[in-house]
Amino acid sequence: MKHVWQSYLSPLLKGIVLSYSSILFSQSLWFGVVLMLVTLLCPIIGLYGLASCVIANLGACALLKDKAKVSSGIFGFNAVFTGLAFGLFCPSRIEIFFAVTILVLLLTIWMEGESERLHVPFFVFPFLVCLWTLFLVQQQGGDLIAFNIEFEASQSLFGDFLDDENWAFVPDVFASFFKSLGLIIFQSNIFGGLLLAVALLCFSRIAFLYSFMGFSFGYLLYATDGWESYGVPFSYYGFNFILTSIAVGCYYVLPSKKSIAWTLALVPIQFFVVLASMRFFSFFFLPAFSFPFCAVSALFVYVLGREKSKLAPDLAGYYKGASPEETLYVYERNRRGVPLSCGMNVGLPFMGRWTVSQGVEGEHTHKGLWRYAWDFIVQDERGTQYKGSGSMLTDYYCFRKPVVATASGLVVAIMDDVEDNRLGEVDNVHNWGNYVVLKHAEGLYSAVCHLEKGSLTSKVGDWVEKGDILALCGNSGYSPFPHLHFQFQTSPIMGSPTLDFRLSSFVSNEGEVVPYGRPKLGDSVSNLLPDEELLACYTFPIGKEIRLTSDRYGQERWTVSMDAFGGTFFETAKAKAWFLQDGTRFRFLRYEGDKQCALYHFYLSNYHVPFLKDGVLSDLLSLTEMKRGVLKFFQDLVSPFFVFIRIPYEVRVKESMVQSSCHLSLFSKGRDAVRYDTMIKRQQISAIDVKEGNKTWKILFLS
Amino acid sequence: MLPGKVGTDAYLSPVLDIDGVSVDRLMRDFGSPLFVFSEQKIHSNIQSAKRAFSTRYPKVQFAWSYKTNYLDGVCKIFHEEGSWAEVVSGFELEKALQNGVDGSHILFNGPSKTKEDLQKAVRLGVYIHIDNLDELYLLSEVADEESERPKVAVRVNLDAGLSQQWDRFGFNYENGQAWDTLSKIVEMGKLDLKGIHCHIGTFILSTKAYAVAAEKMARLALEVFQKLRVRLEYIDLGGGFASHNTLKASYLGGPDVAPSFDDYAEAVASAIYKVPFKTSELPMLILETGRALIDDAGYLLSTVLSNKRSATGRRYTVIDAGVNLLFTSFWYDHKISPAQPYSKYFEDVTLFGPLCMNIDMIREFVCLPLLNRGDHLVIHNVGAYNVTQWMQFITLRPNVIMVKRDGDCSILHEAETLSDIKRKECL
Repeated sequence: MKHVWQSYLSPLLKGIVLSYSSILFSQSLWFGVVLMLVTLLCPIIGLYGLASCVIANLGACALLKDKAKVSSGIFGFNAVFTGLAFGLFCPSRIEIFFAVTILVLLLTIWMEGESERLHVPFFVFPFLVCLWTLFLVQQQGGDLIAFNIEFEASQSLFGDFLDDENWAFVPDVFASFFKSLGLIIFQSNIFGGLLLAVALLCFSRIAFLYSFMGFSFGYLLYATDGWESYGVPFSYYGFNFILTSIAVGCYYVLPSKKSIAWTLALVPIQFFVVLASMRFFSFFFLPAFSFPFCAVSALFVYVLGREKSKLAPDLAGYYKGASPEETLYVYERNRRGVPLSCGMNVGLPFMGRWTVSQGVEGEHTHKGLWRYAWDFIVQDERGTQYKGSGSMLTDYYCFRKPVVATASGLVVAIMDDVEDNRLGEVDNVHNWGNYVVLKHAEGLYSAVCHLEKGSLTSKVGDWVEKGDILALCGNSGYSPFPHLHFQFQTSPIMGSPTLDFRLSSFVSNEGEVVPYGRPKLGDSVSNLLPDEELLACYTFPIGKEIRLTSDRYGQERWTVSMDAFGGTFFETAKAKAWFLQDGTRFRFLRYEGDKQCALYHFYLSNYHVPFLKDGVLSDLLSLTEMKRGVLKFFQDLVSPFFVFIRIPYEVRVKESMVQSSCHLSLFSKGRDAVRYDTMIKRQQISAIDVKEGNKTWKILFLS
Repeated sequence: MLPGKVGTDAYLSPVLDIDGVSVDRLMRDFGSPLFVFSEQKIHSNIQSAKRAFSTRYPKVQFAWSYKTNYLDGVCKIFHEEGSWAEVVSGFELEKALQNGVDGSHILFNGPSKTKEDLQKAVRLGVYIHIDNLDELYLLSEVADEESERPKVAVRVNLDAGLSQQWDRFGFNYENGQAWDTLSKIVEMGKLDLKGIHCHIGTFILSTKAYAVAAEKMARLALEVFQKLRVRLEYIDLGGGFASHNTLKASYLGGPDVAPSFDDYAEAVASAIYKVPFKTSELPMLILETGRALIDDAGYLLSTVLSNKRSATGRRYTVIDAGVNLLFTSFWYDHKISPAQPYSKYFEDVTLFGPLCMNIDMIREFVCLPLLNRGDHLVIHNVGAYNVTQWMQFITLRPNVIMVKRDGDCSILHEAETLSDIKRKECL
């Protein structure tokens, strides 16, 4: 029974609800339910929509293996449109209804596959094709399909209440906006649109902002200027502006100032396409519907998918949150600290502590195409890089020190027979000296240069693990004194353009752990060598059960699980917290669910812990973790422009204790912090002391 | 500077100050004789040792050998630099704990651990280095009583090619005792086997011996992993690095024959890399270096009490620091420098301490300028063992001070007074 629920019923039900949410690019269940209820304002239309949605999702469940995809509603939203349209135009002939619904499902499955290949979303093309098919069949004549083109408010349960004349007091721009919004789900009344607008605002401030912005800009430019002469009210095609604004403003693209500019710039283009398609499709006696939105949005998303310049807005990429807010906040957080899902652990190419003598965009040779590179030397406590008089190569501390692989990879190019220079001399012919180039992934190579002649331990074709010794530091090539040159580059050819790539983590100066960063000139840096005890403490194997009790929330039980993408998370009945542990640090990735539990405080307290005794680290919590409220509402509204709320997180790892704190910071002014002391005993987390203002309470780990 | 046929000329210039603080002032303020430690030198010693090893081997941990010098002020500098504590008695264990060292950063060596010591160590999660089977059985009892799983390492002795093989401590490698003990511990299942330890000797001037020891230890660790399925956290190579002192039998001076930290590190690291560990599974390397880190950071300042001629006409100079303070003068020819400008006339001298005992001789032969009563001398390389092995005998023990990095001087250990001695007397 449980199997049937998990494999079929749950994805099916979720898919049905999310088919509705997907209409406005949402993955929120309640929003889907609200949309469904709004369609039912006109019960006939709404029920056809629902029936179509159920049939399509059932069909998808039966036809396709990927139930996770079915449950996202991606195969259902075109069917919802088709069902609604069928209910509106010809609510009769059940067998035709089935035929149309199955047709739209097949078209959706095909286009979904193609869109993955082409990296262009398919929007509502399946629905358009289906509807045009229906219209063409009707034009063919016969009594197969009888059209009922009148919009009849009498179909509604509420009768006069929905009559637009009751809403005459609403200013025209808003009335038009609501009406357009309603028309997306075939509600040709202001009230339905208003309900939808409120729901949209509750679901996402950003999406609401973009939709109204795009629409009102179009309205301002064109609605007053004799649109009536085109024969239909502005609102009949106005929803194209709304959908395009949400799609390419804040769903497929990260909300930002750039995306706002582009959203506005697309309005006139949208206008031309609307007019042109109205005319074009009129040749076939077909309505253009949402074709303009699909065409313009697909075009723009495709263009952004090319290698883009810094001026173009960023695509939202792999992870899309449940709302544009979440996508934006999660993106902002990930940009600052998490290795992407490839999970590559990249360290420094040496052992012990070395100092950056020339950094990225350095003053000597790290320029132009070769600007993302580092030179490293070893210094003593006085800042000198040699002992004695420094008149011999062997006086230099770094000379003949092991150079190691920055990450696991394949040896793809080496040079091992360039003579080491005498001090002060350089070799202009063999600039790079002796080197090793490793291939870590397609397009990602690392190179270490100026190695000692004859010191290489590997040959081309060897596989090396992270930390394996490659050679010894030398003084070959363009090197007047012994030092190590290190860079990431785009091809196996030594000297190809360098890449702006970041290290997974390293320790800078006195114990400051830098996650996902680049060493700077003058920094003295070393690899983070994980403390065995902390490593054991923060290793949570899948299936592990953790029982705990807290003063505030009582007993809790967490289990460690894995999702379909290999992500690991803690799970309670009401919440989930995803985490990542790369052998050098523990980092939470995101939190979902109820925040009134100890897991939420575990998330906040142990958000980012380096496995280094006496290590310190600072990070920012994502705003997705902030509780809802007025402040959050305004922050969401202005988030494409600027972020005024930050939640700085700081951690200091001590002997048998991890001290951390986080607080809300408004316009860079700190507010009351929450402090956590996570106690560690015998390689396990034993307790967390929480201090919130004057209040203190405790989480106690059992077992 | 090249040595001549009688070694290096050890005293070219007088030593007028220690880290910029004049010797005269120090003796005026703190009395004579006087032990002086240089904070700067301690820091630079440990940093250069750490640099030498950690740039060659990924996981290195130093543990400060308490018996070498357990003055709190000295220990704390090492702990500040990240060193753990290596202790050999309940007394030293307590001292380390009071210095704020966490139990999990203490290594407990020594052949004389009492049951109480073991109980305490087990409770605090100290690494216990097992020296003999009686100790192993005692510890197993303690583990039962305390319901704990003690963290242990096995102490191993081995043939590192030295003329005198130390086999007094631990279990022998070559004859299989060590392997038997390791198997026994794994079989017992009560103890948490964390590492293996060896200490090949003291003042080892050959880096080769360390290479041999390191390779044997690494092979043993790998064998433990492969055959007993226990991944050892560390191999501990003990201490024994030579300082810049000159051994009595040595032909050349200490600075010329003592290997540098880089030499030791190169030998040790390359030896371990010969053993086919995966890089990510290399055991941590622990070093319990004491002498080489502290010897040259300690000075003994002394004052000339009198001069006389022996029956054969040799010049005898008596100073106020004797073997009661300078235990190490039994095996080293300590370098001696005058602490004031001197004449060009040198003479072979025998340097005596102040005790009314025939054995109280600091240097049998030393070529020194002619010194007068009241002149000061600086005795070098006295940082290791002297302030732990000193005696209250005939005279009282003097002040021990430290010259800080900012030039301030502070007392590490106050001079003894008569009442200190009498306080313990009961009748």
